[in-house]
Amino acid sequence: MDLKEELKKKLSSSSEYVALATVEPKNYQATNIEIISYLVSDEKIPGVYVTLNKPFSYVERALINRKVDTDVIVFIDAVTKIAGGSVEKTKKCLYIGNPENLSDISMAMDQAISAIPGDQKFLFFDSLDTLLLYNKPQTVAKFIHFLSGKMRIWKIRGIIISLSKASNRELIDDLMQFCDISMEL
Amino acid sequence: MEKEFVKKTVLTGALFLLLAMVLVNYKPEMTGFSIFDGTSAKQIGMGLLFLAAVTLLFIMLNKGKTKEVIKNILGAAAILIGVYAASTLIPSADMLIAALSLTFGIMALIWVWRAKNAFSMGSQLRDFTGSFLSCLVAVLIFSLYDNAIAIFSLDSSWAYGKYVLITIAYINFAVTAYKMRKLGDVFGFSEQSLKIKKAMKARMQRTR
Repeated sequence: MDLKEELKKKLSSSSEYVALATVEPKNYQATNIEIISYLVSDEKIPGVYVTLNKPFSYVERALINRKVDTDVIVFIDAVTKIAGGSVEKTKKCLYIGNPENLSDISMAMDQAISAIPGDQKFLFFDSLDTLLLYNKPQTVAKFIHFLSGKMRIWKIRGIIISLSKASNRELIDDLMQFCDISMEL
Repeated sequence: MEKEFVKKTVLTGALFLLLAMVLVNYKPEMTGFSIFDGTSAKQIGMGLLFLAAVTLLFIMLNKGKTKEVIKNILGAAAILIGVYAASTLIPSADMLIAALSLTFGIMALIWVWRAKNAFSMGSQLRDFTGSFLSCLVAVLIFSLYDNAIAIFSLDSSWAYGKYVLITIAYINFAVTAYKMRKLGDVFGFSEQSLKIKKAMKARMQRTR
């Protein structure tokens, strides 16, 4: 089945959900872009893209190439290192600079989601695996539990990306209980 | 749940009000026998009115959760008893106020310390909390120093130390306020919000 068809089938039934998407490493980038394209171009909703994996400049380029309107997305980049290691904001993106910095990531997400106008919005979190590289599995599980709770309070479409790897299996199984939809893409 | 909460609040309020009205207007000759005289009845009535106000406030704050309301009333009673005990043990009003304000200061210090440790290492929030902690410490040191001068009746030259400490406290507050402003700049998304609003509007117009 076509990826967009599959996304439509799984995600179009509700306007509020927490979805955990496990993605094949070889399709990782293309799948992410396809999900954002589906949300922004097909569902026509604005949202927040949290990247812990690829720098904002790379993600933005890929989205523009796919003709996704990046003006309706607030980017939070926790991967690009900033001189002095501090948090910095440009017109298009907030640079946190460190995937370990969960407090600032949480606050940034909270503020960004609240700032987006309208009732329909999404939060795309990329990815669980990078979070695991910098934090203990227990901390990651706690964070995802917190995040899924917040997504429900915000009443948004929340998508958490994870790579489909054997080493993640146990954590993904644990996290499944906090999510409404599970997708293997 | 909402209905139950409103019912509870109105009933409790009405009950207390009724009791208080009866006691405030009580005269011994009304009943023919006197358990307490008119003045003490008035005092009890006023007390009940005060209790009614406090209880209603706690009911409102806890949205009618009985357990929490009882906890709050007991807590408030404990604080009042503590203040009363301190006022009888500490003869001077200055010292009493100093002791009480120090207690609040230490409590604030503990809470901020705990918050600081809960935030991620290197985060802006942790940095800001650390800065606020230093403000609290500076104010507490100033307060201790000021009280020490009063308690030990130290001469006026000691006042210079006080000026230095209060200046340090204010500088700390200015630094913290600056950090807060920076937090607002970094984590505030009002500009992006406007941009998205415009983009969504343009999109809507295109589809029409």
